[in-house]
Amino acid sequence: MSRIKVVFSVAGFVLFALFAFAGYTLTQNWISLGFGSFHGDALDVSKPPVDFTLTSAGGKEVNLRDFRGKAVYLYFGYRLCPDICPMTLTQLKDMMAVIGPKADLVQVVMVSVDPERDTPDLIDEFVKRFDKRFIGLSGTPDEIASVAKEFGIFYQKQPGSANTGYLISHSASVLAIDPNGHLRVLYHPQTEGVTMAADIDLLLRP
Amino acid sequence: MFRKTSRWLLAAMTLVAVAGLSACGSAAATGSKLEVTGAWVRSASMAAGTQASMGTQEAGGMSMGGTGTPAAGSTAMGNMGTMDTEPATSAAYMVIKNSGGQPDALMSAKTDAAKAVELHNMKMDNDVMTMFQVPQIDIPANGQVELSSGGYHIMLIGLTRDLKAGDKVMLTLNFQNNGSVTVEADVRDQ
Repeated sequence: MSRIKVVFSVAGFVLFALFAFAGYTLTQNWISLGFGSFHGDALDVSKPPVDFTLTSAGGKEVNLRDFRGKAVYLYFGYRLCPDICPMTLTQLKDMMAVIGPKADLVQVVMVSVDPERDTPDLIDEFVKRFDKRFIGLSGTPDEIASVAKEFGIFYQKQPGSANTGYLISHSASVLAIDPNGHLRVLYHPQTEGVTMAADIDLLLRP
Repeated sequence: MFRKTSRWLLAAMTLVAVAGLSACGSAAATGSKLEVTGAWVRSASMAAGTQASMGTQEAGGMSMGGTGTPAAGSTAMGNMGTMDTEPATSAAYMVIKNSGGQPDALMSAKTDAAKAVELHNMKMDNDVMTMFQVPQIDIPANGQVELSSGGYHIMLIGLTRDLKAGDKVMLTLNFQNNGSVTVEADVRDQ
């Protein structure tokens, strides 16, 4: 073979190797390089970090900022709810299982939109049936109203029967907050656990 | 003469066989055109402090704690709940097929797993979920209705026992035109 051909062959091979390596590096670091998007509605990260103070089991005061350093999944619901609330908590439990060891960097929080019936002890006991790591919070009706408003969560009493007492219509989305306290994603109701789990790296990215 | 008899006999046997077969494969009621499949109940716990089974409520030693208002306004619950004054709930889901030419409707249901049972539907508007009781769930002629999460469901109110995944729950469904049907539902987490 002529010298030129040899040179070109080697050069071609080297170029190919370089591209292959670059492609590999890119795909492995896709998310940390800033690519990838959430499987929910991305929220404005430039807004200030969120915080609130509510009450957990045993009358303990809990601030949302206590969980900085972890990703927080926030859900608003109530105990009487037989379908959508247990379903969502089950999906969040599934999400924790899928992300494996990263679950240590996650906190699931449920806030009751039924403060008259859901005391902090009761709502906390309720969520812990799904996963012992979940935290349930309640407060006075005014406190709940103010927190719900801050997060754009709607809730309203509806007439029920003598069997149930009143029912509550409520926003059933899950809000995901990053470790710096910024609201990052809104997951629409009935989003599956595996779908939320797929976003964990993006959510945890510093 | 013999031939005629045997033909009648054959016809009679066929009729009996067909009638017999049509009763199989559908849930219970003789001659029912309805078939219930995939019945399941969401796992759930009794209300805190409830005594299992036919519910004599005892004032248990459950500390209310917290700064939340212990449900003062909880109204006409009767003896549904316990000292936390709110009944534990769950939901039952299934597919009801109607192979008949006449529409039918699920009017009510009963189970020993709950003190009261209601039929409910849900609607979602801008991510806001609203649940409401309905008087009946229609099953179209030659059609079916699916009771599933986020839609129609049978609401179990005031659980008389814990429902754990793997348990079974018997549900009696009362229909407008096809009598009552009892199904065995599996308890599942999802």
